[in-house]
Amino acid sequence: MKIASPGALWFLLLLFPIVLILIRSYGFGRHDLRVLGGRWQREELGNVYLVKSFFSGLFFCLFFTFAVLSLAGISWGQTPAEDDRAGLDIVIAIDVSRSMLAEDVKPSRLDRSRDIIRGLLRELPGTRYGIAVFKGSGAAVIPITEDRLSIESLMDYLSPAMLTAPGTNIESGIDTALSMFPSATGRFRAMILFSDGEAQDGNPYAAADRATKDGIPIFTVVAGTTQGSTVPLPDGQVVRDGSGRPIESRANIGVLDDISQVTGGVSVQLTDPGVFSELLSALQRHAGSRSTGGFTLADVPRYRIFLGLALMFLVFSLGIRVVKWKNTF
Amino acid sequence: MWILENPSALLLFLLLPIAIYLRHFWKGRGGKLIFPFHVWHGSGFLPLHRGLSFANGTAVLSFWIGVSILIAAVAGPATVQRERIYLNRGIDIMIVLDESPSMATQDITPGNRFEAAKEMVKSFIANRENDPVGLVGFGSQAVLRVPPTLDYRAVDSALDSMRVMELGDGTAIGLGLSVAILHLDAATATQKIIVLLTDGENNDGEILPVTAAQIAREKGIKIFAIGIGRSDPAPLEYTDPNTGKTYRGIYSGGFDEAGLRQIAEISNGTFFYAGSKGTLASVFRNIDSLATVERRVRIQVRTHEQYQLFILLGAGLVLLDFLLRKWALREVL
Repeated sequence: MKIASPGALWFLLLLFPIVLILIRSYGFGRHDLRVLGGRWQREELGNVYLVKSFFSGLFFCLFFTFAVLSLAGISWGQTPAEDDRAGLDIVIAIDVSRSMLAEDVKPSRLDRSRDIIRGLLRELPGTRYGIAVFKGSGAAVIPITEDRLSIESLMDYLSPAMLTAPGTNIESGIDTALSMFPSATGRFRAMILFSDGEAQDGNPYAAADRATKDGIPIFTVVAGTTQGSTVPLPDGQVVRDGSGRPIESRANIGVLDDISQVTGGVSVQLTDPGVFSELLSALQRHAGSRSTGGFTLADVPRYRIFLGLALMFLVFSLGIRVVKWKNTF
Repeated sequence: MWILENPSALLLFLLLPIAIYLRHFWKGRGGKLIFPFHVWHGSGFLPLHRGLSFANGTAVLSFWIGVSILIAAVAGPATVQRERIYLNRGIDIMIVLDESPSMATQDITPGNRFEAAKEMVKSFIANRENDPVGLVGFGSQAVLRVPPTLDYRAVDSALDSMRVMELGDGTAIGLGLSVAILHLDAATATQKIIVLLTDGENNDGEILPVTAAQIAREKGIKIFAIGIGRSDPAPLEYTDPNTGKTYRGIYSGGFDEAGLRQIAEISNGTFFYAGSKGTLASVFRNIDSLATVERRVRIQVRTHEQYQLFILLGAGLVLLDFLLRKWALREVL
């Protein structure tokens, strides 16, 4: 089962105020019926009112729950779909923030990322690559091209000095990389995100949602460890906070895992000795085995089931109120 | 264009009048309190609570519009976009542009040779669709500005950022061609061309233009050499990007026509002379017609589902009805 927009599930929190309003409304209703006096004070009518209020409220809550589930874009199962794409376009988004100089991955997070990219350039024949870098903001450095020589040349210049914007904004990095893909292409598309996941700005999940909508899976490469390490400076010192204590940079595996999962990619760890082959085979699977004889397996969206249930419960909620019970209310 | 992926779901709209009747007009409906509100046989009265009437009307409208939108969402609203997909590879084109100071000569109006060349290159690129275009700049040195790409915005942006004299005051035509050849070499295109724009003679760099042209021929790359400007004296003005100092003077000197002809002939390309902006434009039109390949195209229809927008709007309106009834109007049931 896949959820295209997991962020939509936050709307379920609205159920709490809805329930509170229902309880408040029931309390006021009982009070108003008593004030009216006469037959409206009878116990039997009070019971009918309680039952109708309860079920009407319950069905309304179920309506809301299923409406939110349909909004989340849940899908399960796969169906063959026509797909005659061939070839692969990859945009590599590289975090060049200072924390990428940390040496918890040897020789450093950035150097190891560079090695993996160089390795990829030698594999996957016919693949076109583009390069985006990001820190506090993203920048497209090399547009999608067949010319691997220009990308290899760039590898030597990857450093935090490439961009002036401080901080780390993964959202901006993903958005920049997304903007580099041509809109009309008969090729498979994928993004590889090299980062330690330490985002200080932006909302990476929103960018991941946009990638999902564009049908671009993000393969994340976790550069760093959860134990972390200090960040060395060119003069041999380490980065320190305001009080002079060395800053430890730790990889945020969770956010990178989530990005890959939401977009249909794979997450690999730079510390893993088999990281290169894992990443390579994931990319080959994406561009190769999914498409067989002009067909591919596409996820089947199931929002109609949830939306149908939501409408059904809304009708029930309305019906409970409309149908007269025991010839009273 | 909007479409519905499951239009049969619109049949649910047939149930809507029944539901509206049952909720608002059915006399036997439950959940309502009936009690006398006027004196026996009197005319009664209607309290004028405009705010409440407005809130009630808004709630009712919100609810039914919301339900209608949710029914429309079940029908699978989507937008479709038709895109042209090229099934074969276009021509790889590398623009090699002279950035030497003489390109600032103002004998091509408006602006100067360099600005006119940039403008013409831009309009040339704007007419391409499936041909990867790259950009090399040269002065005393030569650098790859953009590798061959279909991302024409990147080429445009690189052209905008190019400045006269950025790469020194020499004219290393051979070096510029070599960098272009190096980056075209691995391309899988069946046709590769270099468009060389220069106004001078080769006077710098380790590689002779003729040698570069021979390599190009071996690699199957054609060179279209364009000589820009006239040899008559003309004003020249440029700012050195390294020092910020502005230079002005009168420049007289033209390109090496024989050298450029030789380069074009060796590589099976063509030489063009562009003495004005108009002729430069016609030169690019000529190259357009010379550098063509058969294009096989298929139209791809891309569908973008829009149901989330409908659900958000529909459920939001139903929720608004709920809040108005239960909170503002204090509805009993």
